[in-house]
Amino acid sequence: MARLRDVAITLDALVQTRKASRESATTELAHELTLKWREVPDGQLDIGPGQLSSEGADLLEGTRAGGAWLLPAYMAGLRAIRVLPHCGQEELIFFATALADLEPEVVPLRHFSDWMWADGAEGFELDLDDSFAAGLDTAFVDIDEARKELTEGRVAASVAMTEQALALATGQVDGDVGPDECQGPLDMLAKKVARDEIQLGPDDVAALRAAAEDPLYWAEAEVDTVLDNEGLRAVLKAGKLARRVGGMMGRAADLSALKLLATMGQRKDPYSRSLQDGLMSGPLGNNLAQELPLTGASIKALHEVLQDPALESIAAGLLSGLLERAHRDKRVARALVNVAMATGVDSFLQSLELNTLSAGAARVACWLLLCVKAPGRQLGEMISGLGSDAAVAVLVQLPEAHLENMTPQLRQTLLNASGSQRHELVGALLKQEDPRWLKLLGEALAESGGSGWLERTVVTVGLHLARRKLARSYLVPMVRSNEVDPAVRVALIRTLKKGGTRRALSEAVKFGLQEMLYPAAVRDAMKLARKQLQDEEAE
Amino acid sequence: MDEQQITGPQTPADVLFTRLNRSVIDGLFMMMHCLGTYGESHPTTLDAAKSMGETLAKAGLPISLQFVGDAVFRDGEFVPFGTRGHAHVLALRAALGQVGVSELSFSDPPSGDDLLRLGVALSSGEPGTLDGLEPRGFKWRKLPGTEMQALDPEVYVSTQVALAIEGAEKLAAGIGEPWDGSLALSVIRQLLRVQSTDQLAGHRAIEIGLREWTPARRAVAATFRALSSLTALGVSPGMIRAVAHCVLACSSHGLRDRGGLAVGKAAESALRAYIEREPSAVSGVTPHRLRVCAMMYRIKSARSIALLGAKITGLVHLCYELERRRCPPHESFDLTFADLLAQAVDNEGSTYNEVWVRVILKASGGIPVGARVRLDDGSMGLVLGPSSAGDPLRPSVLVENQVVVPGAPVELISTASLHGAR
Repeated sequence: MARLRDVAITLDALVQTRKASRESATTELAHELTLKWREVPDGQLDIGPGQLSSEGADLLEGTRAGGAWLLPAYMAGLRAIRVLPHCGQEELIFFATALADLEPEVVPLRHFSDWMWADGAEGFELDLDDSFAAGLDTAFVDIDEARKELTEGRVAASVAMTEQALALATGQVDGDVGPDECQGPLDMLAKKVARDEIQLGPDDVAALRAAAEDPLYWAEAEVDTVLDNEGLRAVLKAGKLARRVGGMMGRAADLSALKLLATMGQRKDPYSRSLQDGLMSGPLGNNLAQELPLTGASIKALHEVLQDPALESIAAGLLSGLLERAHRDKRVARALVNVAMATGVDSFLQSLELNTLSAGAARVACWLLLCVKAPGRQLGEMISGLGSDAAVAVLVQLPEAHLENMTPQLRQTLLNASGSQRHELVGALLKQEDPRWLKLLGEALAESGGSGWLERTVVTVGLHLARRKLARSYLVPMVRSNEVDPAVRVALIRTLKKGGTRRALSEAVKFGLQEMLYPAAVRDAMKLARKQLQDEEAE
Repeated sequence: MDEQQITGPQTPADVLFTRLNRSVIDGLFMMMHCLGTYGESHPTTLDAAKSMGETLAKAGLPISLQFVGDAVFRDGEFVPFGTRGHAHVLALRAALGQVGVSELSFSDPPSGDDLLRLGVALSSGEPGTLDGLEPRGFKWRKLPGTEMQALDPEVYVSTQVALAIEGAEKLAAGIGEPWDGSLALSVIRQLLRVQSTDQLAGHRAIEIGLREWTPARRAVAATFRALSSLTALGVSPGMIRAVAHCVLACSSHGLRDRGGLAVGKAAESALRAYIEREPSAVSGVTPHRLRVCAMMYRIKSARSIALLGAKITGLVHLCYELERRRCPPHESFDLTFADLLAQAVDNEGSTYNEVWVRVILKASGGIPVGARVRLDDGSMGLVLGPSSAGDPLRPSVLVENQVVVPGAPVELISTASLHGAR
């Protein structure tokens, strides 16, 4: 109850903030209220004329200072408020503003009541009663008189019917009363009733109820209606419709949702584009990717979406989510192979926004290309388009045979990846003990000057180069270059001491006048190395 | 507030009207309060009574105040109050309720003395204390129908149905203008009240009587049918309201004195009117309005009625179509709901979706209210509803002026055969 009281107080604060038009505090309070209300999803706020309560416990008093909206809301017929799971800040602010604008005046009360009955309080479930204004509709009716009229009317109707029948029997009614064909359906109705054939089973009822509330059906119907009617488009912003439709479809992401998106994608007008963008940037795109059952029909629909250049943005978001899902679920990955095959590798790749793919999604994408035996060129193009971390994730797992053709991608990734990702890639390449990769690593280290490389990566690569007698080509020039980071140079001197030849080390630390211009740390490291070399020589 | 504005501006006349009415209630409360605090001869009390008389004169006589439920009305118009004023209303209502009064009417400016006597009588809390007063310029009474819902649900329901039909008549009169969604929702609320009070009585109020089957009455019948069917299925209240609104709007636009437009045309016309609705009251597009428009759009766009199928638009079509056929264009008689339902059963699967036919059939309890039946003794009557016999073919039947429970299954009589039609 304490948490609900907190909700009630924060709601009241938000209403007061809206009343005072304090925009700056609104968002913060709405955010706070969203979080608080989510903690009590089943909590119900009961509205009384002078208090807000829940399960009989008072939460807030209606006074001039606070809760002043309670009485007018009660007068308008509001009795209880429950928050729905999809209620967000925007809905909270809108509802609070409606309450803040509510004055105990005839016109505002009537409008507010109409608004509530028209489900205007989106994100909330409200219990509604008649507005106070409707309380007088039977007050002036004289019950006795009305009862008399009612009875007389019914009796008269009964008598009239009998008179009609009598007239018929005595031939006073116009028309030819022959064999009665109209009676047949009535007899059939009576038979059905007698045989109890009018029952609906629980399954029938459940199916009808589900069909009646089918969110996808309504999402599609509402989108079609708005897109085809300028009058509605003029007063309903695409973003708002996207939120509404996204909320409905997000709860049941299936093939119809995909088809709806596909249909919408065919439209080129600005409203449809905004609606599409709004839908895909909301939870729908993600929900669809995460929940769309990948059956034959939906694979076909996906194929159609990927084939259509007009649906580019939808396809990109959807594929990215599906690849993420496939990373966790092999069945999805296998289904995506069919999609890629049906679509063709080029179209498939074009549909991907490669630079946004996560490492997991990129690995699946790579696996898909290998499954469909995509040429090395396409694989290379894909890796080139990936973000560096995703590229590392792909490259470290790429079979040796494919890696051979990936020199440009490897070089690019070695230069661009983050420290730890680079280290991972370096490890994977060194593991193959291929002189080509060692040379590539040396070149990358030299080209980058070790900038952005982890010290342990520099040391690892340095040791391997030194052991392969490649230190003089790659490491010595770096030690002696003032353009290389001093820490890298010091690390390389240590590396040469540890794993290099005497010749390479002495070349690297050989005294020269330019040493005077080296940073102190480098000079010290060089001096120390020279001393060690001299000591060793003396021994 | 984004593109939606919930409350429209009030006119200065609205504001003035409310202010004057509030001052009358406040004046009355103040006089009663002074009486209770200072007694009737204290100058403050006398001033309050005098002031009350002046306020009444300013408010414009004649004036009558109704205290019903937790609210007060002036000449039937609701007078809203803030928290403090509302407490005054409740106090006055309690005082009036104790002496059995719910309406005070002032025709001429009353004297301060008369007002004081009224106040004293009200303060006494004794029923009948007002009887001895013979004031000039004002009177009082208990409004007859204030507790009708509890006292006689059948009459209450009948009154609400009559109000709903009146509302539907206003809607029909406005065809060609933008659709009045607010009035339509008010009709739907009346029908929801009927349903929550006594659904069967609602069917009786609609089906049985000597009133003509005007398009408005048929629109109400179709709407109530949709409400009852969906409630029986347990569909959400918002969806029920939307379907009811769609049926009401299509019926209002499509039904004619005899027959009516095809449902697609009716929906097209209704959609146009609802989209064109002036954004005066609830502007913007509420979820309800959008949903109703979407239903109309689906119906209007359906290439064939069969495509409406088991979706909810199939129910809208069925409810509308039954009432379209209620008054056959080339006949002089009207059909009962039993006739219509029998036709629907006969045509289920072809003209109508069979699932929805079964839903309506079930909601009407088998033999529908208002059906013409022949009893085993040859007498004829109208079905009022299920009987205590528990047999759907032995319903409660009104035979002339008597309600009887038949001893044997009744025979349904076709209206068409009564009129000699084939």
